[in-house]
Amino acid sequence: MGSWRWARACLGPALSVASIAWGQSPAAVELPPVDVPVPAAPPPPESPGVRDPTGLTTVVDVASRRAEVSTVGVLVSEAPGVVLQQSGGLGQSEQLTLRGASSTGVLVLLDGVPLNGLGGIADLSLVPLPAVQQAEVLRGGAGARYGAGALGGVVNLVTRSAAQPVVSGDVGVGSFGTYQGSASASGPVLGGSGLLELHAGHSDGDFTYLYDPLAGTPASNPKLLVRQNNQATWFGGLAKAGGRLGTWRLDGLFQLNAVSRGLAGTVDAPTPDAHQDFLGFQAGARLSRSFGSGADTSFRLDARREGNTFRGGGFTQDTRWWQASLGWDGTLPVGNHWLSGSASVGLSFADADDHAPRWAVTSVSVQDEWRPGGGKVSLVPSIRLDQAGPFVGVSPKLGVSWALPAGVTLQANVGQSYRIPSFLELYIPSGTQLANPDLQPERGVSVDAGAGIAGAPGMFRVAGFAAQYENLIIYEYQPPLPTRPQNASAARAAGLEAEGRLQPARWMELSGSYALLFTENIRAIPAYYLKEIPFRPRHRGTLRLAFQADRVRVHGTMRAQSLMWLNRSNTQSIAGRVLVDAGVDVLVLRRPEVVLSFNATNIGDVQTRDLDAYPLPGRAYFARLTVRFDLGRAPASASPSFFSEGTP
Amino acid sequence: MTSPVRTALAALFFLLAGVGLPGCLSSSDLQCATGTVRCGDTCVATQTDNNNCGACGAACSGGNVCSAGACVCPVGQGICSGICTAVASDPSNCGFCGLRCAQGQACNQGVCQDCSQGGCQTALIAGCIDLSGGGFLQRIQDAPGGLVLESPANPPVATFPDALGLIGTALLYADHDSSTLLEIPVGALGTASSERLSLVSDTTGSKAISTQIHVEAVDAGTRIYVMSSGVNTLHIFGGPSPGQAGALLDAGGGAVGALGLQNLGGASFDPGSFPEPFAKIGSDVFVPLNATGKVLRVDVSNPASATVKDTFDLQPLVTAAPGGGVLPDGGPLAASPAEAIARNGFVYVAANVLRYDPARFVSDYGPPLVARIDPTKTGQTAVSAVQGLGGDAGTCQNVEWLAALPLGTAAQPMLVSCAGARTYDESFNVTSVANTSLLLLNGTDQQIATWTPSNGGTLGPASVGRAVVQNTTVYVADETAARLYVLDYGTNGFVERVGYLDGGTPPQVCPSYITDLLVSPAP
Repeated sequence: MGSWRWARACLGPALSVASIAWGQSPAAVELPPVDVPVPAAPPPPESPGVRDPTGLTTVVDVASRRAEVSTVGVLVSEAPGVVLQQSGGLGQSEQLTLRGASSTGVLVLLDGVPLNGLGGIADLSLVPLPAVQQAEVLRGGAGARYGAGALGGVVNLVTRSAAQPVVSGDVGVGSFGTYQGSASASGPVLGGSGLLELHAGHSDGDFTYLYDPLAGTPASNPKLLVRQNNQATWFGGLAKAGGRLGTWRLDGLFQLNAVSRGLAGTVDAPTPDAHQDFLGFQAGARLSRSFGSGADTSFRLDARREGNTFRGGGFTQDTRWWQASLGWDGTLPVGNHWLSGSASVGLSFADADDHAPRWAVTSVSVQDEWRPGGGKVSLVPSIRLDQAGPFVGVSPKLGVSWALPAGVTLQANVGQSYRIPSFLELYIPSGTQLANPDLQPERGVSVDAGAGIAGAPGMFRVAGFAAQYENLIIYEYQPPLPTRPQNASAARAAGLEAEGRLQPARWMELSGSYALLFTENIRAIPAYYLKEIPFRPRHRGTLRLAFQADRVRVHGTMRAQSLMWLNRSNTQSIAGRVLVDAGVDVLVLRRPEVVLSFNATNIGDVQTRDLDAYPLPGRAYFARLTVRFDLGRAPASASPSFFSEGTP
Repeated sequence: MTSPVRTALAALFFLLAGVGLPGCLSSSDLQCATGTVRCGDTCVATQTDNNNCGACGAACSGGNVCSAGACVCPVGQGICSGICTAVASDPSNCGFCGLRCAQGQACNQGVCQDCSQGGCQTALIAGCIDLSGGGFLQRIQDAPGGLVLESPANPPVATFPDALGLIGTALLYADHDSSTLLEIPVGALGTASSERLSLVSDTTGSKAISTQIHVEAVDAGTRIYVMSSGVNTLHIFGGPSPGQAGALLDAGGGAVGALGLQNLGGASFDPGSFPEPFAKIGSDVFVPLNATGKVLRVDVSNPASATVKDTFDLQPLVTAAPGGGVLPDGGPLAASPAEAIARNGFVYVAANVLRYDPARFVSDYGPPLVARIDPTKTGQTAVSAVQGLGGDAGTCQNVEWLAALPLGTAAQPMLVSCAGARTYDESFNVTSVANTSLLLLNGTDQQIATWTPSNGGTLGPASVGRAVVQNTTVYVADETAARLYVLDYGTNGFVERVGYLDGGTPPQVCPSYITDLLVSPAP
């Protein structure tokens, strides 16, 4: 038995924020599947369940709820502790903060390969929603197994499985000139399995927003302005294949994504001519083998390339970024110890106008998953050594979990992580932002503890955490000069996180999450000291209710968050908000499966803003038609559907 | 012929011309150089010679000096009983002709004061940014022994001031990060403000980035105008009279009171237009819009309902300037107005003339431009350019600041700060500054003096920034390294009193940048 199985037993399926699917409807129960189920592949080594078995992890089922949302980020933000910061409009940039750590301190992976780009931030809007099957959100410092960059945690996006023999496609149209579609085919091929997925879309992004710089004065004059230069067009694809090579298994992946979008700028300084073109691809191959003893090993070769072109808005820049790595993961059972380790060597280099920084990256990590006694308790020390260019850092961690009767699990972790300054921060001036080659890594120490219970009707989990982040890199405005990054800030964060799912009947599901977050700036400037960190709402919660009849599923989601500060002095704020989305999915045909979905977002037409006070769209509608041919299965009504393909 | 031989012959020729030949010339053979005329046996510069002003034998009297061939009072003085008088410092004519100070009092900055307890020296307050993004207030004393920097101070709730203003002895402080307006007693710069007025609304998101606080007396109080460029807004507040303000802030027992400012409204401009410091004539403000190259005339007589009355485009002045509004490579130059002031019944607008290169994040600059707007006219007919800035030698580019000299004369002179054409290294350190200078224009806009900052030390070349005037002293902020130069001016133009010329060093009053500079009243 591999360590991932231990991890799954320990954490349980309760961590999954899944959803009911057609296959679970009452009608479906009457017609059980006759198909031979596709065996679930063991999770890859980069899965949090394997790599950090005591970490507090939420698994978000993206595939089954793809029709409900427009971006991956919206679903990821349903995990407690995650705050999504959007720039407004489909196709515009999205960033995550986690447990108070900034976006540069959240490591986002696509099938284990870091997406954090030149500036250290992962833009989730560049991740194609149709290509993602699930998101694994590991909260808390995770440098011990994932390496530098995971101050607040890790989000691992897992691409769609190639195993199921399915041909599917969808087209959709929505508010603000939005059109999108995708097509995919997967199943057995050449003795293995393969998947090909293509997608494309466009949105004008021309929603209205309220603007009144003299609001609250006798000269107040509120106006509804139309967001300009907020359009985005995107396309991309995913190809995967895998099969046996003797006693080994070989898997390969190629993913391409392109986005061309206007950059609208802030409401106070719009940039009608600013534009970004992004082209990125990722290719990788993994050779893996499991042994009868329970040991397993895998070798992995990955390459990723991103290119960005910025024009207009007083700024022009062309950047290219490559990274390639060769890694090894392995697990070895020794008595009641499961020893695992990883090692990697790689190169990372960039080309930005006159700047071409490059460095070698190496890492090695070890972990002992020790299960003394009857195996109910796991004690997991781990440590990782990372080197990137001139920087070397050590990230230790100790985790413990205890499986109690009645599906109760206790977990606790303490560890230290750090983040290496990005190429952009170190070497590449970018518009008004200078570089600073003297920067030092950021550092974070975190501790957390949680308890969960999982059973037939659902699950519930609660956790508390505290973290301190030091040496944080910030860009300070210094007129008349551009800004320059400096290791000049520090912050504390603490809070509570809760998540749960309840399925009292086959036709109903209630799920939700809540996070209480206290942050404080501990930088020694009186105007900031002990003030809350901007863009970190103290309360944030999500509640989702779904009902399903024979052919109809109705769902509603409420996303609420309290006031968040815009500035470090805590004088400018964005008011708390409650955004409600609702939708209905109608199963028009069973075979081929034809589903018509209709969604309304921000039903209350709440005027609100997000990152840098960029306005968010008001009420919007989106309709989508999905067609799915399930190959190699008999009764259509029993087949796993578009909605269930992400369920384990 | 080899070069050394040619040099030796040339030296011999000049030796003969300078020593031997004059003795051979008769007076009738005297040839005067350009700019001088023959008066008897000598050549004199009748444009500047006090004894031959405009013509031979025409001597200036009553303290007048010769400027441009006419007898006028020295810069910084007015006429009292036909005699040029320094009303800023003359105890017999203190502030006004005939106002005599009591015995034991001195005339300090045009005000009769008892200077026996100190406090009569000029004090300045600078808004400073430090190297880590914070900042402070820096008081500077211009004492007889030189500039003295007091200990930095800052209200605990503030980061650094974007702009400063005064109501009597109450300092108005537009704080950067909080985008609020604070009230600080001049005598206690480190005191927390008990009143804090927001300069942004819930529908904006940027910092206010206030660039000007303008205070004017109205009825029994004041009206305060705060230009918040970052959110394209002019805020207008009502406040107490300058005489009351200090007492209101002094609540006794070390406590700080409040001015009780009332938010009267204001004017908002198009997003992205970036309005800059304005000029006010009558009930109209003239607002330069940096991003559009235009100046708006806005009636603010009713702050709750400000209305745009006229628009002036500065771009035609660029096209009409030497070079035709294009760079040698054919690239177009654009006007970016940076500040407006009211002077002699006109509005003067300092404007950068540049081509911004986003790839290099630097600009190429064209000729200097100061626009003059006649408020009695409408439309483009009201706009003209001040001619001849920097002269033919090209000493002025990139005009960013203007200052009218409050000298009590009918036609106020004006200072023009030419920040110059700067080049930078990759870390944005200034590597060179060309054509930076401070120009003095007389009441008819003729350039009568030029000062170019001395350089030295390790702080790199200076760039002339805003100038603040007190009596006959000009304090000039350096845009490059936040140094403060001090100039005295008079009949012979500027004299650098604090700088590098005499081997001294102008103090660096802020670690990074001077955001604002004003003359402080005595606490």
